[in-house]
Amino acid sequence: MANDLKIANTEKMMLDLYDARQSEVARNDMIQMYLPFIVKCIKEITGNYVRIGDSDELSIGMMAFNEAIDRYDEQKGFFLSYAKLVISSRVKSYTERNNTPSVPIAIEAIDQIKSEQVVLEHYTEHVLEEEIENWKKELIKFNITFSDLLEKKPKHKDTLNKAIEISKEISLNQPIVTTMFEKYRLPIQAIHHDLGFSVKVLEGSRVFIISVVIIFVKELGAIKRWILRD
Amino acid sequence: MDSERLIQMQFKNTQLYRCLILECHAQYLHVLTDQGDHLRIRSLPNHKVGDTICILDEDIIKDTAHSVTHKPIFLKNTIRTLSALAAIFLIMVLVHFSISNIAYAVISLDINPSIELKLNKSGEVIRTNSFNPESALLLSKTNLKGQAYEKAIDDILNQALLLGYTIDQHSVLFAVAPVKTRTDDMIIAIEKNLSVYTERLNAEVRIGDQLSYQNEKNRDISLGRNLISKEHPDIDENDLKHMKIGDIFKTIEKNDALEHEDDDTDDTDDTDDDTVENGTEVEKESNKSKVIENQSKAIENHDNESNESNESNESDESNESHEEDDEKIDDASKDD
Repeated sequence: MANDLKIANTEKMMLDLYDARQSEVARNDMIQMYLPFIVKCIKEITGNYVRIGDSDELSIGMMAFNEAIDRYDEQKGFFLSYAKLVISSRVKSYTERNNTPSVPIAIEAIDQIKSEQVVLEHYTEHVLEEEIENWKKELIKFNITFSDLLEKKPKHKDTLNKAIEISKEISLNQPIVTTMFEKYRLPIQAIHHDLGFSVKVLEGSRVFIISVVIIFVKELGAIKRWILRD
Repeated sequence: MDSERLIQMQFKNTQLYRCLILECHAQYLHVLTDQGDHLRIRSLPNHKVGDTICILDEDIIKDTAHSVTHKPIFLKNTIRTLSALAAIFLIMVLVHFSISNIAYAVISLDINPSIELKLNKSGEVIRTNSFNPESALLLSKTNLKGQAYEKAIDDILNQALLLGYTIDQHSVLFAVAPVKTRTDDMIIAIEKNLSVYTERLNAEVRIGDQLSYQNEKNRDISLGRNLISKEHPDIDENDLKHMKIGDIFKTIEKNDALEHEDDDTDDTDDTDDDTVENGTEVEKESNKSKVIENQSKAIENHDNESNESNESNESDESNESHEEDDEKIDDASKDD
């Protein structure tokens, strides 16, 4: 019985591999399906979490997996073991390349680097960091810390999504926002009266709603884009 | 084959999260997922606030698991054992307390202060009742709860002496009644112990039953006075409630004496009738007038001596004797 299951799994893998080689869509699907595997391989190699923004590790890992799909044959053992070897090899090469000392820039070349570009790159790099700091300061005015956000977050995904929707609507209602930032508390009764949300929901997600309203009202754009998945 | 299958199963069910690091702590990183959720993940080096990373399910620190794994198993077991022991001890204490707080018998002690002691199965005082201001004052100067009833009675009598009450010569009334069934032995033992006060102080002891205690409960009168009221219905209950025990017994004695006197008077009347029947006509006339005079005097004396409480009874009796006298006078005039 167990043996049959093993055989079935291997056969399924071989079928997926065959489809991936035939069709681009199936290939992308297979890469997406094994993305957690790729991330874990990279994490084991680098000893860090896989960065999304400023690192090419994930792209290299995905390319390595893609390469494994093309180059695999049954004589090379199991597919995932082979894929892991390929990913490991490519990521290591990339890391070593990055760790090599950069080529010194000639003094003449410095003039060619535009100062505005440097500032813009620096700004993009640190914008999230600065917004997080501002967010933290605003939350403290409401007597809320980041630890409170961990402890008092909505427990279920539906409640969380609902709380984000409520926060969006609150941030569009100027009188409520004015009251909120004058008194540094969530005017639950006014929200219930004006926007019709239940007091129970508002009470239950109070801390989380305040934190999201701050993001929307204080124009913390990068964090806002992050949670809205823009 | 096994490792291949394991990896397959592991990664098909694993969820991937995109996260923004909000805070870096030594034990954990606080991240905000792109779903808006706040998570605690394992801390790894080379990360800073503002980094966006990919994490897997296995990196998340579950709140419950986090708190539980930090408690050693032996500590948990010890806490469980101690909690169980504490619960058992608490239950035992509660059971003991509830048993020792159930009244099995009641003793009332009347001087003028009327005090009632409720006793548990071991004869300890669990509650005290006062029926008048004097008893409240007396009780305020003593602490009787938890004491054996013998000691409590001694304390009450000593305190009564200090407050200037007379406690000898028919001045103290004890009454005992069961509150629960099957307490006969306890009541007998209490009665036996109270006999000491009968000998020493000439105190009166009355024994009631469960019903008499129930009646007393509803009537705002001490058990002893209630029993006296039943024994002597001729004494006004309101007077009984406020009179000193010494005065109550004096009244009872006086009433008893009056009853004896009435019996004697009836005997004298019979003798006079015989004389009238056997005498001459002249003698009859003089005897008739004497009888009338004697009877009227006796009636007057009787009226003067009787108190207000038995006034109605006395008047009924005197009316009856009047009617008898009138009949005798009528008979004598017919003879004439």
